[in-house]
Amino acid sequence: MSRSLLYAGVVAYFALFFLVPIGGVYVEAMRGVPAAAVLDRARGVLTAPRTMRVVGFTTGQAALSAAIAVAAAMPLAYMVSHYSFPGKRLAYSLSLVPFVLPSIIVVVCMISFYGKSGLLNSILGTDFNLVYNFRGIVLAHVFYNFSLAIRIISTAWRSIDRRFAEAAESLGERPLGLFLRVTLPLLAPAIVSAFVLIFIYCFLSFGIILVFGGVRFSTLEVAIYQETYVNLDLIAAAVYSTLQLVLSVGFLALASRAIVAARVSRSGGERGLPPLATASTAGRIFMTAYAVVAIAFVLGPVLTMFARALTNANGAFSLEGFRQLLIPGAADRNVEGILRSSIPGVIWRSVAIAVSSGTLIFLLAAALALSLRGRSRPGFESFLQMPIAMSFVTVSLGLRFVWGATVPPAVLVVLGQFFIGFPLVFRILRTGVDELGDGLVRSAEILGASRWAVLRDVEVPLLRRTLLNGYAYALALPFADLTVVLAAGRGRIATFPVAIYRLIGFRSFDLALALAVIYVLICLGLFLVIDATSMHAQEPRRDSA
Amino acid sequence: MFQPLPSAGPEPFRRLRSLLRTMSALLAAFVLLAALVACGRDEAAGEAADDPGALTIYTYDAFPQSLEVLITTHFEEAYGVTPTLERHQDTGGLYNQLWLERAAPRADAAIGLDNTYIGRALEAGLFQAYRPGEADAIRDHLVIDPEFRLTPFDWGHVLLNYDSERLPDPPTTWEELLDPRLSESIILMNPATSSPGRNFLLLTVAVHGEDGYLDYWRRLSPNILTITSGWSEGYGLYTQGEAPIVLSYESSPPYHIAFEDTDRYRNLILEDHGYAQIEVAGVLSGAANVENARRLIDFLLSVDFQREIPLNQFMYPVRADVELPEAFNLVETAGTSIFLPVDEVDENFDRWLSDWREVMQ
Amino acid sequence: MIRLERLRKAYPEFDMELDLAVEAGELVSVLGPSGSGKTTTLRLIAGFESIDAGRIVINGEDVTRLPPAGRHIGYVFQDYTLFPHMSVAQNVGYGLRIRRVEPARMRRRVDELLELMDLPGYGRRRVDTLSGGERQRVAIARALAVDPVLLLLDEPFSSIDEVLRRDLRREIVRLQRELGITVLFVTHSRQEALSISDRVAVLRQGRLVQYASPVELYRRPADEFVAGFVGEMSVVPHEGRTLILRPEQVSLSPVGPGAGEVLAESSVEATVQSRQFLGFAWLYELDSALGSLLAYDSRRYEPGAELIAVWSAGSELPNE
Repeated sequence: MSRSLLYAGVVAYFALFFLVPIGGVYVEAMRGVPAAAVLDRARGVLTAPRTMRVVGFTTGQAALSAAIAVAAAMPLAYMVSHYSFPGKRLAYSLSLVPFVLPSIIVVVCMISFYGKSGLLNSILGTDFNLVYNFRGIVLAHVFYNFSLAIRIISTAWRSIDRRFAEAAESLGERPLGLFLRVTLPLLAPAIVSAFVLIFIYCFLSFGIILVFGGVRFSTLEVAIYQETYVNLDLIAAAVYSTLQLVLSVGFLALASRAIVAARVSRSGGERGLPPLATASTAGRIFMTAYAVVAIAFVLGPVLTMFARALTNANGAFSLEGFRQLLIPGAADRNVEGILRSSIPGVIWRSVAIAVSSGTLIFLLAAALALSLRGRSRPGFESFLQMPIAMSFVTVSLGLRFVWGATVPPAVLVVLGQFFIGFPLVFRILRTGVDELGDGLVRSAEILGASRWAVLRDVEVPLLRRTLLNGYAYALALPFADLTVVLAAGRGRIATFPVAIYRLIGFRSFDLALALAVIYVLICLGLFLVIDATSMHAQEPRRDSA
Repeated sequence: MFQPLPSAGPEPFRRLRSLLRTMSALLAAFVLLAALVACGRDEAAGEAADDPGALTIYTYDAFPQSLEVLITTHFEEAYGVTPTLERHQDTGGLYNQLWLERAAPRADAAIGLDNTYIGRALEAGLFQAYRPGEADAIRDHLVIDPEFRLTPFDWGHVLLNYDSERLPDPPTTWEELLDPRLSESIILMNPATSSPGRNFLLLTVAVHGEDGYLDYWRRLSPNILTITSGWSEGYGLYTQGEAPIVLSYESSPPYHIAFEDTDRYRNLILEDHGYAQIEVAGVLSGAANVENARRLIDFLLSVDFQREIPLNQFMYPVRADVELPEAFNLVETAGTSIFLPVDEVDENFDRWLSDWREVMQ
Repeated sequence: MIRLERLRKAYPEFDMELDLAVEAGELVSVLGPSGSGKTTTLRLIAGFESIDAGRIVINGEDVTRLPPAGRHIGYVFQDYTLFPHMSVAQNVGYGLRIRRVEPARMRRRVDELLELMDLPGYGRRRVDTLSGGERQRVAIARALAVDPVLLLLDEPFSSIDEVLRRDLRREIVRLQRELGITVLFVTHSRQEALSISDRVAVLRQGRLVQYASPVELYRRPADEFVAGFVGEMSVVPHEGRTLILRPEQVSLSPVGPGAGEVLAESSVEATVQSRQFLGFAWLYELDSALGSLLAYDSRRYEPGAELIAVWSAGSELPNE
């Protein structure tokens, strides 16, 4: 009964703030145009050689980016899931930073590090064109999604019962065979999961392609943007949107089936991790070296951006950007005028909106994940994953068009941002909740625990890491959102990405970098708090009897 | 241990239901919180000022607040009404909103459409004619709609910029721009997604002719580092030092002089050419407050407003009788302002673009 | 055959210190309360954990530094630990696959083992469709497939019901006899240990307290801890020493005429405190001048009844 009530509520929410807005835009776009003409135009778009090229490129680059991100993340996922080492918590939190950067800042980071005049080229004394081509797109995508792969795979790796390895070893298995025959198959659901998510994110990539894609490389999302905002051909946009939706939901559904089929109960649970020093010398050297390179890959660009923010045009150390930004009246520009908000206002509003959206996302995703435990509803779940595949350009346009007159901007932003974070957070929580299994919850219920007590005493403590991980993403994704705030906020709401965007629009790159640094530090603080809480989660020792 | 077992049937459901009820309450509370938090603070004033009887203006996000304040103050002092300014992302977003609401517009006036959208806006009949009193003060070549459904209020030249520290000896002709020493040195924008990109493509069509522009681009392409989708991205790369030449505006160098006190960034003027990008405002067809909307158009053309455009919007005033600030006089400008007729562009642009795309693939 | 020589391993809870030798073909149980180091002993032998000092010798070969894969032992985990991503046959054949046994031979061997474990035709089943007992037998078959010199069983029956457990226990004994394999068997059930083992090693806090045959263990426990751990008992002071009395060594008779004659040296007046019906007899808990006593008796007495408790023999604990 109440389960269906929850489902009905979620469907209604999706209908009102997702389907109706999108439908509204396209229905309005086609009003007055004869159906035959619409169909004709649609057929024309579908059969155009450019469409095939765009679909091919979108799929190819996404598959390659996801494969590289997952493969590159494996050694680190192993290290994180098997050893404790100094600075682990910080590194773990830091790795999320790229994920929350607005794409314009990602670009600035990538350029500062990998660009023609970037740090890497200046260290090597070279002039390599690393980024302005296909390589750049893949590089940026890997940079963007690396931490996601590490988090998903390491969580699963950690929960694989150590005894599977011991059983295999006692039967004569050597490390390589153990990895190929036991670990990899047991990790398969997590690897597929990570691959699919990253694939989808790259499939829908927008900001990165805007900079590195040039004319040759265009994703469907870029094509939708182009048709919607520049060519104003909403019929073509609808065709591209549908194509994108069908392809990504189809891919997700296929992958979900694979994940469900491969999902196995792994009764490992959490355990204390030995320090890295206990690994073999060769292993320690390899892992440390790999981690250093990976950290350079992920943090190099971010740190270079920091360095740029702290130097003036002549390359000397300077806090000028921060001074102008933070001290009222210190700037020769009217900073508050450009931002249309004060800096404390930006911080406060960003956090408030991210917390509101994040909590909304988290609560609904958690409720659904808990109530779907142990059940398989492929149709419903594909439906829930739909927003991930939808162009937010279109969603935002629709939200403003349908609800703009009745719903206050801030509420509309929260309602819209829900769809940015929900699919990912739901997937994270669903996987975690399912791995907990039914037994413990049932036993608690038999003991007379109320639903709340089960939640409080069993699910929350046991799922703490999963829940906090989910909440981190639930906060991070709205925090980094620019599209929905800009479109649905009707210019009234200045969050960090909006403020950065406005500063860049006013050519104030110096101030934009300074603001981006402040933003990154705040994100980092947030993640540190969350990760610290989740790492302190009780790690019961194995019974050594 | 020995307490009676709960019945297996309806009990868990009742619990789930109470859980859900609490969760929904929490949800509602958070949404409410978000609303309060976001509207409650320094934007409360703007929110409270919403008065549908006065004047509702649509514009894009980047419209400077200083100019908004100028408009608001003027209307409050002169007419005792407080206009509402709603910002809709970028120019494309603005156009879409206007177009989607075309049957029942919520706004009375729109500020900020440019060349790219003017033809379509006129064809869709989004605006009604109003010839402002000071229409004659507008520079002749900027009047793109003789019926004044759309009135220009600022303009600028789209052209290349260069970084004089990295390129002390810039090209001065279109031919010199093809020099192999400039290999991978130019950052451009995609004509399909960005206004400057579009205008630069039109400039090459205008300069090299319909028969020659593709060949020119073919020869130019080795010198192009990248073609970004938007101006912000491209200009960002340029200020990061990725390439010494970028497609931008004639008013970009004055910005760096005025606010960063450096003249290293300069206009790269090829054979005196610049392509005019014109921003327009107009009264919407079906506007509820036509009178105030017309007053807005008048005010945009007033000297008081025009004077503020350069340093706030970094564009030129459309009136010839307004003096430019110091920073603008320090830079070189294009003497020949090129502007292809709107209808000619609308008729051919798709073809020019797709031909261009084939060449650049 | 297997010798653990001066094995040392430090843990936060206790330090392990162990000498133990198991003969070839022997079935030895490792018994002790939880936390006494039973599983740890097995894990050290298997090589899952490294030792701080000492040697582990299997069949004359020092395996102390060898990885688990090189020790050639079979290990059966408490919760089976079957690979969830493999079928029954794949699980059983896993060790053979590692050894690159050709597929036809591998199939034959797997079928043979499933037959042996009374699981014919189970090869294609998924492991999550098996019952607990079936899983346990698959786990044993998997361990046996590679002909280990030593089979380590870690509380293999702890999550199986009583009846099935008895069957499986018998099965283990049968297999061990048939295959002549050496088995080390961890349990916390004294009944299990006493009924199937050739010898029993009793552990307490990481130390071996007694290592003897089940009979000796029961009759001549090394100390009060062992005595109490392997069976019900009462402790009675006797000529300045401590005497361990098993309930079956104490007989009861009512106080009545002629009772005085019986009241010999090894008897005491006792009052019934409580009783438990065991089927074959009652187990009485009595209160006496010597302390609390346990006794079996097939007659029924009410709590509060005054009786004479007489003991025939008893084992003295060695002086400490």
